[in-house]
Amino acid sequence: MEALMDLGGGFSTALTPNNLMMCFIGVFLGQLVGVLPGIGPSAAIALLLPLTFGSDPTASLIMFAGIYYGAQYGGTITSVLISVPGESSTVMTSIDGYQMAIKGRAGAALGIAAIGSFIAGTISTLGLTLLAPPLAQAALAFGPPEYFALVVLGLVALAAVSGRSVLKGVAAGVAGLLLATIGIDPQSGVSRFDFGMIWLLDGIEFIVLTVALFGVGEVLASCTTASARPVAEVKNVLPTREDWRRSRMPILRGSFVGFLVGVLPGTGATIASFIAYIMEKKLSRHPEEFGKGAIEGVAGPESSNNAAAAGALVPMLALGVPGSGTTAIILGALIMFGLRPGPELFTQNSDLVWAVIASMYIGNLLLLIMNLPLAGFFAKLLKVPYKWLYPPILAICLVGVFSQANSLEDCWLVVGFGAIGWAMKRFDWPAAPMVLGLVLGPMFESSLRQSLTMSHGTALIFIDRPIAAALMLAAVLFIAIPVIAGMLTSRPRPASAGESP
Amino acid sequence: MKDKVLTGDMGFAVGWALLGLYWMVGAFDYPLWSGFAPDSGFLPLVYGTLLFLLSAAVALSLVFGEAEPEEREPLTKSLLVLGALVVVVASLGFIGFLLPVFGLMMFIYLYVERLPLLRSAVVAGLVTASLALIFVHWLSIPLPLVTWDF
Repeated sequence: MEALMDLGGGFSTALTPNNLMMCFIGVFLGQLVGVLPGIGPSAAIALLLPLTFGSDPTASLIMFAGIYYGAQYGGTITSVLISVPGESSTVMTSIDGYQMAIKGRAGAALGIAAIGSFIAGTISTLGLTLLAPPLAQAALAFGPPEYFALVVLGLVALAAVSGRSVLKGVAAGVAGLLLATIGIDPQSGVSRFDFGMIWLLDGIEFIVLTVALFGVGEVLASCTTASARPVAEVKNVLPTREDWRRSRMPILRGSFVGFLVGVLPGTGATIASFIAYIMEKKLSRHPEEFGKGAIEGVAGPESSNNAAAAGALVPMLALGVPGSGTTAIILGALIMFGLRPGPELFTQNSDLVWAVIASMYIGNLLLLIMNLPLAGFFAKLLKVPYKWLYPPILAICLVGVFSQANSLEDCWLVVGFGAIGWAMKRFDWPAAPMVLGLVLGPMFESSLRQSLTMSHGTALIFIDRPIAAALMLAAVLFIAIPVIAGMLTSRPRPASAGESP
Repeated sequence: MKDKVLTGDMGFAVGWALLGLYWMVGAFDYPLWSGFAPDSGFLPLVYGTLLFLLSAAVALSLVFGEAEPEEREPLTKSLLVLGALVVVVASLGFIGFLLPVFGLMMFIYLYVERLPLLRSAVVAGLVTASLALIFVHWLSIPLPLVTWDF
């Protein structure tokens, strides 16, 4: 009940003209970056960070959240019309969505995706409304050991599922932590790894690394494939009665599965959409239609990835543990605005949190309104070749990074880390854990020091306290499960009876 | 092709391992422990060791694992763009932002992408003007646009 009253207060903040406009800009930009090739929500938020420096945190975070869930809608359009998923979470949509487009039913696929996304987004935001406050309340009892374990879990969870290799993911996370040690140690005042350069005393800024890895690195990796593709025609976006009958249960199932998967740290929308697709195929009376244009294969994963996007905000807002790469950047933005992510956010900045949650209901409605009549317009954007887009992106990266500290050295860092980001993409090293490592590094170090001081130097404090122990165990499982699963699948299967050896 | 992929991947992993090694050695310049808690050098030592071990494990897995031969995109275009960025950042301190940013876009449009001159000039001009308008006039950021702004 209290949550609903707080939500009411959130609506009164979110519905002010300025915040409403930021919500619209956010979802529109999210939709746009989901459609446009070579730029995702992480890059879009990274590029906009310098523009929001010094502005109202509530309005900025409403915009960032809008970009985050709006991109899920936009990614669908490319999946359906050109079979190129705009986001990794829309990979499953492209299987049946593109087949529907080939059969002349692109409009129906986009229509059901938009309606499913709206329903799932709303259900999931309701889940966020009800689940996040008690979770944050419970987490208020957290001390330094629990915070330390939470940071470990967040880093490990994101590292374990970000790329194809757990090893590379964890190494990237450690590299981020390592970069966080550059500059003055806040506890002892000693300057570390500054290479004799005064401008490194403040360390490496989160914006610099984020813009470099997700802006410059992404451009350097994508500019070689800057070609246009044929786009399918969009007609009749409103689904038929039969389409709706076949889609309503997949939408509901996708909403619940997506939310639950999204809440788990590190899993995110991509895994949610995979699970939803497999589940729909298993439950379908016509599994043979999957892969050939089954509308359930669009409705389920699309609902699921949108529900997961809101679900991933539960651990981010309530615990300060991001559920995905993009929420890791939003977490960094919170810190940039001088806020402390974690359970205290709900008590110390409740106006901001509830305004962001309320704006998600509004944003989902805006996206539905935008997507049904404007699907054709966004489809036309697919015809803009990437070669016209990426030079301005580079220009924005340089100017944006310079503007946040008036530092030419930061421009050099952007180029250097941009080259590293390009190599990371080329060799399949995930970038998100590195950013998260840099963001959470100071909290990791201070909570470790405080915990060990409390325990007189014994690390048993992380096992003696039940919540910290449970979080640590979860972190171990995040590493162990993919490794064991990989070992089991790579083991040669014994030849069954009747098979030739 | 497989050899090339392995070389790049391997070189990258070895680069991270060397960075880890540097941090491990450098950490000993700082006190490691004070009272009951770690001091300034402890976590850099831990991070450096971890990064070294993890990156070395990645490199070893590339040597002994069954690497799938993967086709990578050609490097030329990315290197040209990266080179242009280096030149632009090097010139920012002398001639401000307007010319280098406009020049960067023109170079990519005309030389790297071979796009038509007039359209390229219009797009590059509009983007540069918009950036100046947004950052200098709307956000009041002291962006050095030309030489005399420094």
